Amino acid sequence: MTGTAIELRGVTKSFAGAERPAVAPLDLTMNAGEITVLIGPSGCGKTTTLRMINRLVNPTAGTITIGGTDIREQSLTDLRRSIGYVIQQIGLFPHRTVAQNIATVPKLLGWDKARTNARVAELAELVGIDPSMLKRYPAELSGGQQQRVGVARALAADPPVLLMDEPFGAVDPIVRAHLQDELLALQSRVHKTIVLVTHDIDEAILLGDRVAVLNVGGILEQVAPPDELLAEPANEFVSSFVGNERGIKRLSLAQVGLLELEPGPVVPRRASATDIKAAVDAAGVDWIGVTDDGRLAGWVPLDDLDLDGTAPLDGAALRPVVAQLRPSSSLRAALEVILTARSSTALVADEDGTYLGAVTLETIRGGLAS
Amino acid sequence: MTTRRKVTCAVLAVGLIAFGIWAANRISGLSEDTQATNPLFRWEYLFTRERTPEELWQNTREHLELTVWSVLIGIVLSAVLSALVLRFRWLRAAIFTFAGVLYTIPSIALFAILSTYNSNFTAAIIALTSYTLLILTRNFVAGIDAVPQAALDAADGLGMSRVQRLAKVEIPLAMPVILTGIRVATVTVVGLVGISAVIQLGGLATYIFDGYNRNYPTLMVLGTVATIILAVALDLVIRGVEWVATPWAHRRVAR
Repeated sequence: MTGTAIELRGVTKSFAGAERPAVAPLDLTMNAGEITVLIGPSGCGKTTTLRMINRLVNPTAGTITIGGTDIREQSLTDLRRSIGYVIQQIGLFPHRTVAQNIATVPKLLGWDKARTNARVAELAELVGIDPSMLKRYPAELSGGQQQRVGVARALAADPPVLLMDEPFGAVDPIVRAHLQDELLALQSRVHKTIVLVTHDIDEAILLGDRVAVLNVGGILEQVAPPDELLAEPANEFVSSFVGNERGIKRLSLAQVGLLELEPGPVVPRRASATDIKAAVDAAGVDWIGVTDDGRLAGWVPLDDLDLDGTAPLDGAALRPVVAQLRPSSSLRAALEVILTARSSTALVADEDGTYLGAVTLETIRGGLAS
Repeated sequence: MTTRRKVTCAVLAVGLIAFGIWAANRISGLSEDTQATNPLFRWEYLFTRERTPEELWQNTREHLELTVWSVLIGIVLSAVLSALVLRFRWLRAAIFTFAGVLYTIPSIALFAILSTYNSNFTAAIIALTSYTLLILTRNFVAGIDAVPQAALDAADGLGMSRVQRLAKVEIPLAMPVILTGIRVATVTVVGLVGISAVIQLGGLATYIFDGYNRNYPTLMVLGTVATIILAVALDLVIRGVEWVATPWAHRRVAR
């Protein structure tokens, strides 16, 4: 089942004895099939907000609907069985095998054995758990594997909604990066409505379709797609929270394909000496890129060429283009290539090798400004 | 060798040495005649006396019956007490104090008093059971308390009811600690059963008291060794149950 939207209307949570409410009246919509990230400093009520959606915490006031239905209309257990739940400590049941852990909700729902087993096998494949691990106990798994099992368990009954409370907080950075990529790949297949809590702004930017920044006391400061959040922080709090490396963070979000590319020092192989000189002078470099039928073939240093001939590139020994990008490359990757490339210019070609244009520092700056 | 094993070995060694010194002194204090007629252990008593196997079996059975019944009743009562402690936290101090007081009553006094109002068997069961309550309740509560919060959170979040959570998550995860409590209580009771000899029960300890009264060391040695064997056997049996019932607790492979 693909996702359904979650709407919070005037949701408030006050804990007995606390001066201020943990969550101020909060209006927020989590769009169907999107990852909405809740982020903020500790005490901002992000986890409380998440836990109100499956009623592990009951709101003091306000209504929460999932797919238009008030969550209070269902029994507590029915509601929770229809929502996937992943927590930081993973919370696998140590006395149950991996397969039994994944089958928790199907078993609660009374599925028969054949259906449950088929679903367990399907999920193991989906999240990348080797079938031989299904008979093991959680203690016999690595942290990353445990987290995958946690996700599989949450998805077992195919819930439209998945709640993830700092799901990658307990694994080391390398594994975390891996699991984040896997989550995005998984989401492109299952299209759940995912609500993810984190305190890591980089994770929020990487994973979120939209990011909701909460301030202490559950005050919603801004909710926007990551690029907008970085480009136009709504206020001082958001801009200080996203940090002073906003430009650099945006680099990893934007793609080369969105830039206005320059023509670059690239000519067809048949080009005349005049054309070559013009292209080289315009770009201010000491080399020339060569295309065959529009496909990038290689490059030659000008010193190697006899520019008095009629077709100087004919028969010239081409060198492979190292400083090459694809339209899907991030600006961060582009910057990396430019900084290490000869004369600060990277060439862009699509999957077929068709030459599209060149990227320089100026191009990137122009892209971030627009 | 683990620390626990070292301690166990040390205690056993000290016990054996003490027993040896006691036996040696006792024998050296006797005339040579007595030593000849009343040695520390007469093997004929065990192997050639016709009624010995039947008596030994009789006493062992009585010992086992007293142990098993009192532990079983103790388990039921402790389960109820633990449920009360876990449900009503403010009862914790009261219940543990109650069980603690029962535990500290001198055992001989308890047996004697109870037997004046009950049949001897009932009196023994009541007394022995009351000694198990503290050990069992403590372990039951500690076991449930030690269930990781994350597992409880996951159980709730996945939609288990209170009863399902208790039966499918809390009790299974507390099982190693619960079984340890039952094992310790059982071994303790095997030792305590001996005291019920003051009210004409006592299982294998009957030998010890008889031997003492009749100045016949063979009986004392027989009773002691048989009691130890019974305690160790029960300990091993329950350890076996632990091993089989909680495979997840000892299957840890290097990551």
